Amino acid sequence: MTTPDTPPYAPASEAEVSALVRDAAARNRPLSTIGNGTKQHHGPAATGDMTVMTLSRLNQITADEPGDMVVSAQAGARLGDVQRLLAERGQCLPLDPPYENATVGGILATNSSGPRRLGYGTAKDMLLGLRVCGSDGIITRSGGRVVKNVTGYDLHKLHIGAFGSLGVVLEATFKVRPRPEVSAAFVVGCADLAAAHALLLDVWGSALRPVALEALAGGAVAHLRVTLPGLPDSPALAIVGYEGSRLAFERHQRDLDAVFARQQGHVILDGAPAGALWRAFRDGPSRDLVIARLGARPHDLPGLLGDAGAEGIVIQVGNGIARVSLAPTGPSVGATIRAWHQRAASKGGYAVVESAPLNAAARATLPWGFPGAALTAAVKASWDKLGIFNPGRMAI
Amino acid sequence: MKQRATQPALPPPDSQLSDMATASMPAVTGDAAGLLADLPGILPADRLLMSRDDLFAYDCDAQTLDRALPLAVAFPETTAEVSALVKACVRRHIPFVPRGAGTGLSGGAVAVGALAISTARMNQIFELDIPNRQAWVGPGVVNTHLTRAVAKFGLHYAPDPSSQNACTIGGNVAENSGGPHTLKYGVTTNHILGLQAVLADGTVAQMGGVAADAPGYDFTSAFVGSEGTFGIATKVLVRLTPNPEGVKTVLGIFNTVNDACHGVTEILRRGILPAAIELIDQTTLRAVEAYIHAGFPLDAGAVLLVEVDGLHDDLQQQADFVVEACRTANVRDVRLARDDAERAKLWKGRKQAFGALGRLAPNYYTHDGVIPRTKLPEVLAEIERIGQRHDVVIANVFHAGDGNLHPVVLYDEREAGVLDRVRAAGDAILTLVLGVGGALSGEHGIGFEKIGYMDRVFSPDDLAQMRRLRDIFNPLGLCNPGKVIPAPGRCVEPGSTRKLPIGH
Repeated sequence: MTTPDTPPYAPASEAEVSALVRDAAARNRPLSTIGNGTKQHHGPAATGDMTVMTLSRLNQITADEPGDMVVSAQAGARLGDVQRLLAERGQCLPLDPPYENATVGGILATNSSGPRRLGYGTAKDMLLGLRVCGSDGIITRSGGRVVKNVTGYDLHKLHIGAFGSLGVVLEATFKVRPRPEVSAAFVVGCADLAAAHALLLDVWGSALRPVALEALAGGAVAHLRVTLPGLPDSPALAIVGYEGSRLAFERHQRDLDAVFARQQGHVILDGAPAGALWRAFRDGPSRDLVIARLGARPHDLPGLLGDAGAEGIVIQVGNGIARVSLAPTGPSVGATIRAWHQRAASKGGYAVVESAPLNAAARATLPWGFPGAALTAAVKASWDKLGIFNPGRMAI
Repeated sequence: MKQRATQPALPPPDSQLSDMATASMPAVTGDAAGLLADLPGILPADRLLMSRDDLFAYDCDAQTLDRALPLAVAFPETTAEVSALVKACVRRHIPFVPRGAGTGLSGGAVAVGALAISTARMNQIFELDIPNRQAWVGPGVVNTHLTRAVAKFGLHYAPDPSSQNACTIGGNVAENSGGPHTLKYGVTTNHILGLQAVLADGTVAQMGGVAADAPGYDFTSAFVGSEGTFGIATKVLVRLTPNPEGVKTVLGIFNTVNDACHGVTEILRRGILPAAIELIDQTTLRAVEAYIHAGFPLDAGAVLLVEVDGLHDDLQQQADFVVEACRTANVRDVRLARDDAERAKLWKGRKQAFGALGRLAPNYYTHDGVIPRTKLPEVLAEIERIGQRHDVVIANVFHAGDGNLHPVVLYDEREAGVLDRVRAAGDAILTLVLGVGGALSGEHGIGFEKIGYMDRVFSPDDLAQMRRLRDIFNPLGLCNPGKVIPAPGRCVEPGSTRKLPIGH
């Protein structure tokens, strides 16, 4: 656990970040960087005695020429604030990661995404450039503010999912999209998870172009019902997210009606109710459970899951990602996930812990990741010579 | 830069490099004779080119101003053979340069005193995973061959550079290639899920893989676009994209380039995302018509070729939005391609535009800057003035939806003093692009060609950080030296004299 020597530093400028990093380097004192702290339970905890630096005051949206369809924001800007600005001009940044207060920097550091990644991709598909403070306090830049760019190496891609281990992200530029005419979701009741999963794999293989395909069971279903009481009353749900024109939406309706006929009822959420559904996803991940993430080829996933999902499960069908909730008190949480990993690895997949309650006893021993290849250690040693950036925060 | 290849009348010299390229090349100090002696022990003789005559075919890529004879050309078929070749180079301290189809446009494949390692024979498709829409392919697989192999399953490989009938997936990975349809579908990096690469020490590394969001640093995305300076991709895991149910192509005919540029802005404001928005100016239209008879009007100032795709249900509506946007921008005439045949013809005209321009002048020089899209009208107007100022003809045919310009400076190198004007115009164009917050290159790469401009885009600190990453992949600097990132402290003046290609 982190033990700050002072209250968190909250630099208000890039120069102040730089000065803090230089100071930490001079004292060889590790720095823990956080945004709004929504994902402190993601990844292993930072270890050792360190200085905490919060980037929440670096929260400006720094460039927004609507016609260029790009947006730049400082690391501490809330994604929600960026979206609000973009919405005013009929645009959106098509990222819908968990947690209302998540910041741009935190989302990048954890490679965070949400259900609609099926349609739009993840941070790496929309990140155009970064400004980063290195371990010597020097600020460097890669990429740019145009939507296509092969000028120099894409250094910014290495900071995605790096848990702040390679530098302090200061400012990011993304490409944005027009806001869709319709944002809707079809929610189908299914007898069990396998049925929901199979149904959505069929939709994925069809001519339709959903932006999200989510199969849920257990606690994840119960969570959605709290905010959306009208959902079908069934053990599992299959959700097809749609965004685009009204005309193509009607086509989805027609085609999906036939697919859904064999299931246990469905509802269509159009407009505001769909917004409520996506917000429920955003706020869904439990902070009281261990959440394991399994990744595999989409069609391999059903066979790999077995009876996983006792407490709750959310599958991003078509992306080949499953998130399984487990009670942290179970003696064998780590062993269970390691066994899943063994099975998944035989097909090129993996299983890791994505998040766990900060007070979970077994936290430190959970399988958060894998020892990286030689390249991993080399990049870390080169870009963070003293090892001051978030030591222990990422399993590498 | 791109220059039409011409047959040299005299035996060319071993190398003919721009001052920029010369200045960026470290001295080759290894044991060349030793390496040449090693090669037959690694590959059979029919997969090695070592005679001077044979090597001339490999002295440049599609940017022909920078040329150099490689020491030899090797044609490995397996990852193990690539590794053995690289290890031999390391042992003899001789640089090596990966080479795909040689269609690159920034001199990235020029091998100065180096072993050229061709991936041409690594053209196997190892695995087509149709249900999961993924494929493992060799780096030498030609871009369209991959699309053809999966067409019967209703899939395609989305990045579609104009050279797609020749260029290879390995080369696309190195350059992070684009193409017209990247507006909606993204560039190469958005379609590469993982790869196997031989690193600069001959070791084999795996990056990425079949499963999304694996924990760890995303080396795949760092490798893509590294222009062959991080190693040699030997197997590539690509994403396959479902074909759209329907496609419509709109041709907007404008009296002026300026109106067409406003058309682009109007289209992008309407909340739809076309698959492609291409602008073709009058000079290019005339060249294309003379060559391909695609059906473009000869008297238009410019046309926009706009493609919308998706489900049948809203195609007409999307096309209507485009038509309406063009009308707002003072379009002279706007119409839909009647059928697939007309659509194919229009696109053929677009894709072969550079070939057609080659008929207007013996030489041409293509830029590749990217600008914020709102700057299109003013930048295109200024490019025209630059042409007038430097007395050169500049044609424009480019990915307007992305703001990715391709000003093509037409010239005849036999005309005395013309190269200085071409160069000055080029420098003015790049200065203009950078001045509006643009990028040096959108898809052609830096290579040798634009390395002298890198310090105008990036600070010494930015470049140092890039060099640190390269030095991890490529610590001895033997893997494609002298490209992309200038050596520290080497100040190369981009405006300095380029040597004239001898014998042209």
